[in-house]
Amino acid sequence: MGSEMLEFFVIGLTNTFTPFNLLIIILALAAGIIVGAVPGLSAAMATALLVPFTFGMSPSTGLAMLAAIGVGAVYGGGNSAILLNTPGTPASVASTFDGYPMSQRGEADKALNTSLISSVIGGIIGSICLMFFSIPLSRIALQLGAPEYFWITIFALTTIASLSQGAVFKGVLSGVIGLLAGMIGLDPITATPRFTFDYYPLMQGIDIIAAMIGLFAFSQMLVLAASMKSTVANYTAKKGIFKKVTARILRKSKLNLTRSSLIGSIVGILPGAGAEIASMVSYTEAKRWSKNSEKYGTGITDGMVASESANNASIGGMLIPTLTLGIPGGAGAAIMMGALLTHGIQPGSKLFSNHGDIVYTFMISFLLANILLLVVGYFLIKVTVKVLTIPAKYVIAGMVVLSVIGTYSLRNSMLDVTVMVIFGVIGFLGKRVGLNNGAIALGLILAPLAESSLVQSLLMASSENSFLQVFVLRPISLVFIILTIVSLGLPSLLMKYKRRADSKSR
Amino acid sequence: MNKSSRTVYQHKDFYLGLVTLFITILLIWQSLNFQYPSNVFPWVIEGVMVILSVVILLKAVINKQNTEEEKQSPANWRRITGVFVSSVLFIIAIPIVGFYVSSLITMTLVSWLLGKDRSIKSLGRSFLVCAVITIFIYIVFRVLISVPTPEGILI
Repeated sequence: MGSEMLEFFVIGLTNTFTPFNLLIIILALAAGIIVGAVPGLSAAMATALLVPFTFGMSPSTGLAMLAAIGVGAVYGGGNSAILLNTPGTPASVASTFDGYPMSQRGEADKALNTSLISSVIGGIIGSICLMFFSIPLSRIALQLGAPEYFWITIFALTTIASLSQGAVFKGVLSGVIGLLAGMIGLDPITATPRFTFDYYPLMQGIDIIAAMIGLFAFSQMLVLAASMKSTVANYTAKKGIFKKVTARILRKSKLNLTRSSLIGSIVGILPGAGAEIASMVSYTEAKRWSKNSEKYGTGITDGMVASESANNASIGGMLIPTLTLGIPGGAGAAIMMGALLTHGIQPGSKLFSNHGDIVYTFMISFLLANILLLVVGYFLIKVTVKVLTIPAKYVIAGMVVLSVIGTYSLRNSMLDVTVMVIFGVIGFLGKRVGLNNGAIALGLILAPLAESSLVQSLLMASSENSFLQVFVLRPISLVFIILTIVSLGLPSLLMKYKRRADSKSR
Repeated sequence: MNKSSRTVYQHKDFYLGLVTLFITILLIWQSLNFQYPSNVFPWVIEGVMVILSVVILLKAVINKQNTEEEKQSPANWRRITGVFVSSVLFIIAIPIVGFYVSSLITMTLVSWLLGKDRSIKSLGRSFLVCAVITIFIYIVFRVLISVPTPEGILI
């Protein structure tokens, strides 16, 4: 086993350091930063839109590109949080608490550099966690049977639901809507057409990526159209600030940086708890452990360090269950999983033995993307400031066209484009009534696994003649049943965190 | 929060419950003739969906308290409808006129309609900017990664 791992590692290294792979990572980081910096354009959206681009690439390069987009976007979101007090992506909400006061004091460059260095270090720690936890977890995953998988999918869906901002019922409803939409087409067991309303083309089912481009990109254009703001940012660069900030963070914020990055990675693993919650939790913890906690929210570097390192670390964490179990840890990871499936690769326990070369290339490329963020981010700081002044009307117009061509290029089908627009409207209206688009996406992608594991468990139960034995009494199942119940209690805990973080910002 | 906005939120939940309940009933009607085992999962999920819809509906009717904490910004429905209708017309036009030409027209119209200035001069400016975006998209999708796009009378 060990020598095999080493072999894959070497293959991964050689595949990573090809000029094409490096170029793609750098371009993806730059694109991610720019998209992330524009308020209203999220990391999930950028990832969804770029899936069609990966078809011409090897799966590992394609995946590395998508991950790099996410890395760039989560960092880029911090830029507008600092300069405009508007988080570019939801992941940077906690960065506004200290980032904006800093830039108002004329320390925008200090805040931006702090954000860059923290993001890089957080991202590196997250990708190291990905490397070290994935392999043991994939071995455990090999031992899981249908009943365990059934409970894990239920756990994943209830967690994302219970994290839907205090409205648990609507969160569960969102997941269930996703599951129902995922059933459209031929059923995975007997190939009977379901919910096709006798419309023949629907037999092939809803294309996951088309639905996600609708949910995350098209719906967001409607949101942007609903509330258009023109934005102006001020930023003047000072010389030598980068070195000064780096030295300060490495000297004074070592502990905060490590703690926040670890919190970010762990929160990322939880299905549904993405970068947004990671940064909120680590901000609150940083304040709790700090000697001068009263300064948090007034424009303190440590607040930036906590939020920005955690949100980037969470990306690595999010990918752990995606790769090892085939259960995405969040919206961005769900899209990446959709991309994997479109490439004909099934994530899960067998991924590591069947496609070891792809996984290792991806993990090393991901680590490299986090390191390269330092360089790309450094040179782009001045550019992103200008990006923030692009009028929203052109962003909307361009994104509508990109959503359409991106969806069409998936299978050259106008039906997919129609599906994309329908999901865009569902996503938009859903958001207004309090549904959770991430949960819908998760339900959509988990529907086949949830169904096949349920039906298999039922067959097992009838052959063993004990429903209880199969569904409840297997140890790992029991753990996930308990976790599911606990996760339903999470909202109240989270509200407490949010309230504390909010009170800090004032 | 004043009383009127509270009622609006309750209406939202009420309609959400009503719409999902209606859709679920439609789906249940479709799934009645499914055979075992392809009926298990749909029935379970439909059951859950009915329960959730009814709970949300009842909560909206009974509970006078506002459940949503965040106040949403009022939507500009004219702008939203504008973007939506343009997109639908765009999709209809693509197979007839061709992708790139209809893209250019759609983008020009959308960005012009969304802007504050609705003069002919601003229409011209929108057209120029969108022509540049279209050329950029053409180069990336057609020349660099050669994605096939539907062609109509034009490109």
